[in-house]
Amino acid sequence: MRRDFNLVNTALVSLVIALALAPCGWLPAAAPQRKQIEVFPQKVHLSGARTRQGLRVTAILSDGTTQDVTGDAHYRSADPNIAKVEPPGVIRPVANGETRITAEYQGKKLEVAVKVTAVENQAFNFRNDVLPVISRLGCNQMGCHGSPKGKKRLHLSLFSADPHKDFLEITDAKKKLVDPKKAPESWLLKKAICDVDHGGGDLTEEGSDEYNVLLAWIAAGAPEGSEQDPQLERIEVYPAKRSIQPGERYRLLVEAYYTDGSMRDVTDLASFKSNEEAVAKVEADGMVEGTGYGEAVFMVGYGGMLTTSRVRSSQPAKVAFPKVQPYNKVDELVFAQLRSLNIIPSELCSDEEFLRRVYLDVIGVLPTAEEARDFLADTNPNKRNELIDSLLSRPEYADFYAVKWGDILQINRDIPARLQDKGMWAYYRWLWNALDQNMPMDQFVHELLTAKGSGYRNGPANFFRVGEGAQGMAETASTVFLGVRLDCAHCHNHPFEQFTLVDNLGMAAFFAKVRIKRSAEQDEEIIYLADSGTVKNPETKKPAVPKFLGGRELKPQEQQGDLRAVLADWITSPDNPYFARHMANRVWAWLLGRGIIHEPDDFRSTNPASNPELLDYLAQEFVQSGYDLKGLYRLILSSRTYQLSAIPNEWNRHDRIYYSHYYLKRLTAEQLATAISQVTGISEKYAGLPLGTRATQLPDVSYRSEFLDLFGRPKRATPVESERTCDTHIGQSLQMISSEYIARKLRDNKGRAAALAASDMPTEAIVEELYLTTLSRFPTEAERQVILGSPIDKKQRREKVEDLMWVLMNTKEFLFNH
Amino acid sequence: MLRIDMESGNGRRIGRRDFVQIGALSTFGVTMADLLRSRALAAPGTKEARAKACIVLWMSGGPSHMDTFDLKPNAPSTHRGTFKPIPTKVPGMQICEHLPKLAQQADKFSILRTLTHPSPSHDIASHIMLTGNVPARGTVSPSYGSVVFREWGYQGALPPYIAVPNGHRYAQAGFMGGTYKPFAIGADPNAKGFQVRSLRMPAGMTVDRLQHRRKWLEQLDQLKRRIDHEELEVLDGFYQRSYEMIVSPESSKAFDLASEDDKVRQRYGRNTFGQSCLLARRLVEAGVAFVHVERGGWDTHARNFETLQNARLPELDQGFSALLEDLDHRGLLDTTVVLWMGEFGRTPTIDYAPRWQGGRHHYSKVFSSVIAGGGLAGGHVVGESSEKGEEVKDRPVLPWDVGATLFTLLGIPYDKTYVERDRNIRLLPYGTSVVSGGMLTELADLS
Repeated sequence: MRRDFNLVNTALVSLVIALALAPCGWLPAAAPQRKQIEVFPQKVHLSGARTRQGLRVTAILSDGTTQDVTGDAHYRSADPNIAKVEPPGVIRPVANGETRITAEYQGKKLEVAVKVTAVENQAFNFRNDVLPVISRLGCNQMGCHGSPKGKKRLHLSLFSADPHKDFLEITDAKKKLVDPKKAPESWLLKKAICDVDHGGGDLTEEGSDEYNVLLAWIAAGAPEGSEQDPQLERIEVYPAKRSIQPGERYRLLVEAYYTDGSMRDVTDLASFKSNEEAVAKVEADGMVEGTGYGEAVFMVGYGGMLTTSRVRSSQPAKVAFPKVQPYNKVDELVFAQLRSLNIIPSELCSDEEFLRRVYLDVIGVLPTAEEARDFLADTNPNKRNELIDSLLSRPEYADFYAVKWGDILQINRDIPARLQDKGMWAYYRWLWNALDQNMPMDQFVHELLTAKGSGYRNGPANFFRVGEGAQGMAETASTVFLGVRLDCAHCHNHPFEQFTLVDNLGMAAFFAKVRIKRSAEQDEEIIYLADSGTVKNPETKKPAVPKFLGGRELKPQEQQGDLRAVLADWITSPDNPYFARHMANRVWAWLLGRGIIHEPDDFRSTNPASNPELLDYLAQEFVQSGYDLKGLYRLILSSRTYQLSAIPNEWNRHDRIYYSHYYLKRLTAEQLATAISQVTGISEKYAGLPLGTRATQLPDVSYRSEFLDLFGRPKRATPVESERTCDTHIGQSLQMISSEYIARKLRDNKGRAAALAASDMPTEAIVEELYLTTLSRFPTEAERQVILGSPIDKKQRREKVEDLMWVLMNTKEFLFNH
Repeated sequence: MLRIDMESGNGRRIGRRDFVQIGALSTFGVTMADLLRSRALAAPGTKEARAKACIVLWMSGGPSHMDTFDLKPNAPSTHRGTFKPIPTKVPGMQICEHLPKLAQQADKFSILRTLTHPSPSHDIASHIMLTGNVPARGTVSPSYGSVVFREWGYQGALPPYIAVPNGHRYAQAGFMGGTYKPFAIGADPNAKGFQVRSLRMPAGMTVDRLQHRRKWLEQLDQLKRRIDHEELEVLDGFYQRSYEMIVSPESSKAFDLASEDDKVRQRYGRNTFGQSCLLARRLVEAGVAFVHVERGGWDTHARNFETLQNARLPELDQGFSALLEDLDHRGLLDTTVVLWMGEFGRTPTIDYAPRWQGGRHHYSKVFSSVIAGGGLAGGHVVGESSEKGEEVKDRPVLPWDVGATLFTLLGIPYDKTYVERDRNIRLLPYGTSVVSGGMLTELADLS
């Protein structure tokens, strides 16, 4: 995806950057003037007689906005004997040679260099000329002839994955789809226009461009083309970046480039998709329309290749962007984006809010009343950073993040992972120590991916007991370390995804030698490497070659020994396109409540980052730090962005992706259970573990707890993080209001409510203590009034303390991290 | 165009804001919004709605069609399995020999033998069957019950959509948001001293004291006043509803299985599935619109025949037949749709490899479902599968055909669209260019 951006017309990129940096106060009152125009493409090379090329002319206005004026510009060819041009800027070849086309708009002129070659060549190439038309008509989709068994008698490869096979299928004499002698009578055409009964309905009509291409190809004898024919090399979309306003329309242009240097306008044959239709939508012909404010990315596909085009639509600036002091580079990147969208960030959060937030996010537990008092009273200006450091060095950090990592590594003794008691504990202890000691993440990956031996004795060896088969191991490794879900490519290719079955199997091939054997001990499993082993491609029946995800294949001489180490090296190399970005994004998502790429384990070309520059920066810092995980936490936690208030303002209340304020997070199941025990002073007993073990310290999810299940504890059936849910439902409110779970902790004679009520503290001091314990802050004057408004006599005190504790635990301020 | 587009939709998760805004205007939270809605739209009991309730018996894992409702005694031994068909009360209709009690109720239900959809994966298939929609990337569709919840709203203190004993990942509200999720009771109705989680006040608590706490909470709950957030609104709605449920006698009565005659409890079967069916009947009686009964254990890759014969089929036979008989006896069957289904069927070929020992794997090309009540005719077989149970031979039934039938019986237009952040989302693909076998007009006049 990033590669595509390098192809962007530089003039426009600099424009967008200029926009981003421009001061965004009130808009200029004067009507914007047209300053200049630009034209795309600036050089045209047409090869063959049937090609044609569209132009796009864009006017750039004095306020930096742009306007598509392709239809209003005038065009002239310097030599119509070489190439003709007709409105709206469509160039057609006439004879071999070179010439220039001039585009003129309101007195501004630009020239396009045109080269025409091989105009005598009328020959067809199936892959370049015919298959795109068939794709465009939708014939090779999942529900049609692209389904695994085809449809009726025609079986095409899904989304034209295998052009040669498709050619053989369509021209198979037995199927009688093409008849060069009576081309118009060919079934391929009759089916497409539904002249004969076609389950897929009429896809086009006689005389359409698609129809004419198919007709001409059949009439020419339905050739496949020659080996020497140029091949598609890359595609480019114009504009790659642009600003847009709601209601504004323009048409994208998709250019295909071939190995012989020629190019072709394939806009009519490409497919388009918007990731955010609430910002801008794109129609099947590439026509874009702005629909709202924010940013959107269009996915553009042609011939199995993908590229993207981004748009930004800024809401009107009502107030000047405030002067906010960035704490570090993170803030500079976040605020630059907010500024360009005219979204005003929230205020800095209060010390009370920061305290509670950072405890919950870093160690998963609430500060005690004493810790809260100390922090709030501390006048050291650097106290927030000092608190961050001290929390990161506490053992509860390892507790809390072992739960998160345990989810994605699927650590569990029972179904589905079935690691058994000993395997689970070995895996958990290894993980806990790695987190506690801040093991560099490259080492972490190596230890996991190259582990061998007994799952009972060597913790990381259990990694291979979780995923089923080489494909399962590869899918887990891809999701956990690269943030790429390969499970969809388990069976077939996808039209808008770059990863195919070959990628899935290529990754699986690294694990092909991994074997599991039993030992004498009950259910013990030993991981070892066989001397050889392959993964068979179910389509070609050939063994898959080990291939880095989105990268190269291993050469035969590289396929010796433990390929898992080769994979681990590749994953943790500084050039890996995924690992560092994914880790940075994952930690960002854990702390900020939403990934820059969301979900954090769903990296794919159709799921762009909301702030790519920010993600790149975090990844780069992470690599340079030597994969220091706690360093990454520190960088994010010490940013002003992390420390923004959760209270939105008028201009950012709809923002859910640009981090203009801290997004609310319902406490996770384990956080909430732990907090309730902390507040009430009564621990929950988990079978087989010492009393006092907190929910955030549970080594797996097999410990029976209705409460934890109710609040979204996952079963760890998949490595996907969204298996853990933090939504709300009525079962939860019932639980909080009237469950025995809460009630018995409140009324327990050994609990905090009993102790406070029986103490000689004045009631006012008890109220203060309860507020600090539950909400990490002192009560406000208004709150004191509500609670102490009517006198509480000694006999009632216990009941009132219990009631107040219940009330505070049921406030949203308690249930959410904010 | 005839096409099941697995890739449609965009990559955006849908928020809840638009669904809860009305709630924010009212001190009653969701109540008022629901009232307004249920008056504006077809409410149960109006002439459009023939059925007032629906019970889904969800067989999680995918029950084998070849061993339940579509036996193929003449298929080769690689396919037919060990079970024999038996005649039922309806001439010509045969089902598995291990479902004898159901055979006696055959006049009350109809078998759909040609369900078909494109996915043999649990997740996607469950989504398709429970929502009537092929999942689009990034969007989860609301299950049938959530749609009914949203259209009808609360009819009393009990939530309109209840899952017994637990919910399913795709028997959820999807893009409609948490408000319309089912209330999962989270307790085994067959357990001794069965009680629904937190529905009664805990020991020592009185209504007065609870009211006092509630009042205090409303005064002291600061965050919502400062942060206008849909999730907080939704949670407020849940709190309102929870108080009502806790203090209402009707809700504790509906869940009081102990008040049932022991003979009735025995008739349903003293197991989780049987008592879940009984509870479903009590809930429908109490005015609950939609009950999801969850029963897993049908994913019989290994030892298919032993599992079915010893565990799944006996409890199914007893619970399902009792439910039909009891609903009918109480005059509720005519207004209650009962839908028995899983996410798919199982492979017609039997896998005798040592690992599976006579197992059947996932199969969605053709499989069976059973539908009863709500004005639909019983005693019919819709569709026919091929001789080996491998393909649709005649009259395909797509999941959205069932969905459209269900919604039509419930008086909800299947082509309704919901606007979610400027996007129109259609309730069902039925009636568009999608593949369809048509609604179940064999069983009722659905015009």
